[in-house]
Amino acid sequence: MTTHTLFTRVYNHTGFLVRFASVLTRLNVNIKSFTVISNDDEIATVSFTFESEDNNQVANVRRNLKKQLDILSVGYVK
Amino acid sequence: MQDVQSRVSQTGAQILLDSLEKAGVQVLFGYPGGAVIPMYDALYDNLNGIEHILVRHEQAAAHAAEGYAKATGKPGVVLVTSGPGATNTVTGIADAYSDSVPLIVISGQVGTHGIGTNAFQELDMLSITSSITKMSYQVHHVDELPSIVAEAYQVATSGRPGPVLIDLPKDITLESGVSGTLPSQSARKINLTEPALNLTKIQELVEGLSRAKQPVIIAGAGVLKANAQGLLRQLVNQYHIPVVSTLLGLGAMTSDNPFFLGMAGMHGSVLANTALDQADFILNIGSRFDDRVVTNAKDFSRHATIAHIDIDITEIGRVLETTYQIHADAYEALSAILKFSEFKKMAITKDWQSKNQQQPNQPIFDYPETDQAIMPQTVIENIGQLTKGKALIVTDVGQHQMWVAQHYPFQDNHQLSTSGGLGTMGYGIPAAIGAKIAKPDREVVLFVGDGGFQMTSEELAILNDNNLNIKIVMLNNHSLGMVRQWQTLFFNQRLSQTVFDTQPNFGKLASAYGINYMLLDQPDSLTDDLQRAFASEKSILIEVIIPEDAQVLPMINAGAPYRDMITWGENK
Repeated sequence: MTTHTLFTRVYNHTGFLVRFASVLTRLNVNIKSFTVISNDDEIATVSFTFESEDNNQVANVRRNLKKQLDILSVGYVK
Repeated sequence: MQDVQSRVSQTGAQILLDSLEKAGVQVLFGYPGGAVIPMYDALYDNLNGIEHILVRHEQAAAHAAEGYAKATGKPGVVLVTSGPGATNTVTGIADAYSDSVPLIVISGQVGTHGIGTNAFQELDMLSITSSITKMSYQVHHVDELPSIVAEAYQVATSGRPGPVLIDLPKDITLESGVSGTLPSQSARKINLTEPALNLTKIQELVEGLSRAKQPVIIAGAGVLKANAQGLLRQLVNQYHIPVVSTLLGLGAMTSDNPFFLGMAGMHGSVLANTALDQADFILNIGSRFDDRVVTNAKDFSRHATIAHIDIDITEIGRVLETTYQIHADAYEALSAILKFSEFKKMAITKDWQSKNQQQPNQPIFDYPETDQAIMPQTVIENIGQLTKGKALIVTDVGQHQMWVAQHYPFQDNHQLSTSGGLGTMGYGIPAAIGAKIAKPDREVVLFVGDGGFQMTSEELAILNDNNLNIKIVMLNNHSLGMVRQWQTLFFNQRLSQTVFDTQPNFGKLASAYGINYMLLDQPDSLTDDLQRAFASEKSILIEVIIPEDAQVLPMINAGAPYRDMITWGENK
């Protein structure tokens, strides 16, 4: 299986993880690792890895995360 | 600057109402309950002049608010209690999310200290609605209320509109706070950046369009939400580009414009679908290429270059490889396209233009006419003539919805309220109520099937309460017609659980709710009967008996290419 790493910048407030998890659950993503680093400016960086052989699934994860208003950017780490 | 005069201590409930009034809210659709008694107590004094419509089920509050929003373009606002009151709105919230309808749902919550204790009527609505709202807020302090309301309004209406939830603990509404000031800071940091129009990309798109010999425009809901129908019509009329519509894009073009080919997709016209199939350039404005339009992504418009304008960047390139990607509001994009195309010579061939326009005396959609039964299409066309195509049309979901999309002569924006993306049966009656409350001077006509009617018919109770005159046209085929049609066409006619063996006496039901009723079952007097029914001075239920096996055609099966369209053919 190919491991994918996504890197996001989010506004860090109560409840954002529910939305984050909701996207991943809906798209059948099982998280291998998940890291949140919060900064002083209320922006946190969230990076996580998951396994998938389906490029559409990876694209869907990125697209659906981008829809969230509290997510500023979604990047893919190669 | 602070408004000193209004800095008086008030309850949270009154502050919330003040904040709603400041945001421009005039109507609340709601239903009281334990957690929102303080809100209803504040409404009792009606200091803000906000009208409250008391529905009979919270699901109806959400759909009525949607109907209001679609008729006005302004957010519909819902007030319900915690627990079941809140969960009953979930279908409406999801419906609004699917169709990008601005909605603000204020759901009561148990007191702050009771949250997380499984208290009576306590539920985690933030989690429940996380995947069907643009944003949700839980109020933690009374002073947050003005900023949260202002921001919720902004979130609901900006960019791609959608629903927002405000979870409101009861103690917050009882606390004292200060009203009258809007905060200098937003309630929370969120990303509401509107896209900046990229003129270089627009110029490239216009270049591409000018080289196209067989172009087609798809008009989606984004055209109407941006109020860009005038610009679209200008573009079409100037260059004679054939245009098709999605279900939610109906009204972007006037139905009688010769270059309007009707709705496209699963139940689209032969003209529209053939044009899309043969096009060499598709300009999609504000539609998300959903699976009811793009039934088979690999085959869809396989010779065409795709251009897509959308306010939601995540929709662009999601379904089809897209050459010209324009992340923009449809109004801004169309304005720029018109400007850049002013001095461009278009390569569209005369042959393409003449082949892809409405022909005199040839309706876009046909159907088998008979004098043995009332055909639903005839009913809709008659009502189209009776209302001169100017009524506010609301539909429920199913076959009648598609017949309306095919046969009602839509003219303008805010004219159709229907559940497109989610396909919510039971949407119709409450949405029609919301539309009529929004536009009391307009004729509101609801088309509904006998299945959907029975899902929210309890709302008939509020028609007379609110002096609402709605024409409810129930096309009764004693079936769940759309599923029955699929069973007939694709499941060997095994009509499993789609035929109603018994039905209520709808005349007595109408009478019980104090509204008028007419049964139409004679095809030869249909036109006169409809005229009499539409003269009713209060709401009327018009029950029309249609053939049980009436079908919606054309039809493309899910996953099939456009070439496999099922038409009336020789069965007409």
